[in-house]
Amino acid sequence: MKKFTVKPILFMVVLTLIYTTILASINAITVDRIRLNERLSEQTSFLYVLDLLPDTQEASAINSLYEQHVREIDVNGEIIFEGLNDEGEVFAYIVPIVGGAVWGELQGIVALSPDFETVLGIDFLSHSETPGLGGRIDELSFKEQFRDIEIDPEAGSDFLVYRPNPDGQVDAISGATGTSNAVRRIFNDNMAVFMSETREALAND
Amino acid sequence: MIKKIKNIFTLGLLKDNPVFRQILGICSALAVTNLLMNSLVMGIGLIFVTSLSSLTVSILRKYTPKHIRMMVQTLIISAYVIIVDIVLKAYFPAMSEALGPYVGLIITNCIIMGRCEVYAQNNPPLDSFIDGIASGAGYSLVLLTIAFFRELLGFGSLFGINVLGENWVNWVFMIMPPGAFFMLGILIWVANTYIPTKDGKAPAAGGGQ
Repeated sequence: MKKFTVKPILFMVVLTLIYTTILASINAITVDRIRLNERLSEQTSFLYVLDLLPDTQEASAINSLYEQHVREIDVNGEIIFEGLNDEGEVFAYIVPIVGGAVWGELQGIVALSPDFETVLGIDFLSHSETPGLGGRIDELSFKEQFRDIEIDPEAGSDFLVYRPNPDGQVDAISGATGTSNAVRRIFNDNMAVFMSETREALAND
Repeated sequence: MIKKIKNIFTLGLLKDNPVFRQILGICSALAVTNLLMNSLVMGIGLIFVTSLSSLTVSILRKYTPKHIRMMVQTLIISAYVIIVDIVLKAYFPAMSEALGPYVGLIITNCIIMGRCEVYAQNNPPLDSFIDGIASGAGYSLVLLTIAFFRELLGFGSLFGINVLGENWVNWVFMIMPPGAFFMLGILIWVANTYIPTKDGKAPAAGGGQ
């Protein structure tokens, strides 16, 4: 048997320490900037579901639009958001949706009209679906289908149905059945909770 | 020295090009080449990682215990890749989004480990550094060539600027993955026919062996 030496282990430990220090300091320098970018991309999503996205991608423009049109409210411990129009009146409620999709957690937001009968828009904040297949839920061709579709707030379940069902509102993505079904399930589950609990509380406010 | 550098670059860019001669790094070469801008950023990222990894491996080569050298190389490579990833996320968020998982996958790009193992392990630091740049540049050259045709035919544009006019009918095929396979195949064919090999032999007609 070969003689055991600690040299390789020591070598590896020292090298790992050096590189971890370097990476940690680079991370510390850039962490604020990255958080700012993430915040910006989140605000962009909120403006997108309200269909208020400006042509510019400038951070200050998006930030001020967000401040003007989106307001966070607390309904019985549930955080949802109000979409305000130029006059400051509520024209939409933005409801966060979350659930397990094919490869991991999927987070998104759905904008509903104040009578809860129309979906104004949908966007996905984070997910880990397969790029090129399930990842295509990020494409406009899929998300734009959710503009102004009718849902029945009293349905209890199956708020969203895919075509070719005669009552279907949107098309699933071919080749990504798993992700499409997951999006439908997450949407319906979250809407069921929202319609039965949060909506009542909102009405009683 | 000048002659040596020139030689390293001829090998890396043409005669021993990592993509069309060694057939390494194909995965990302197929994946990110639908737009010139993505290819350019990917190429710069790879040049950065390959050159610095080769440099570091070469500096450490006399102290690294032989039987754990692969582990050491992987550690060095992944550290540089994470740096590229963080910098992109912080300063070029749009680009980071467009490249998606492929930046992280630079770690598994065979070109880098290939250069570390074959060249940097046996050569002085400066040579290894230059060799890393040359190989990275060879990879970028191939990516940009493929992306040039894919973007031009698929979108009618170059670097996002429309050049073929409104009447151009986009070849959707070129944007999709099969377009990359065809372009890469054609490129390897052309390279095998016209670019001499490392041993100075004229390329065998019909694509060699």
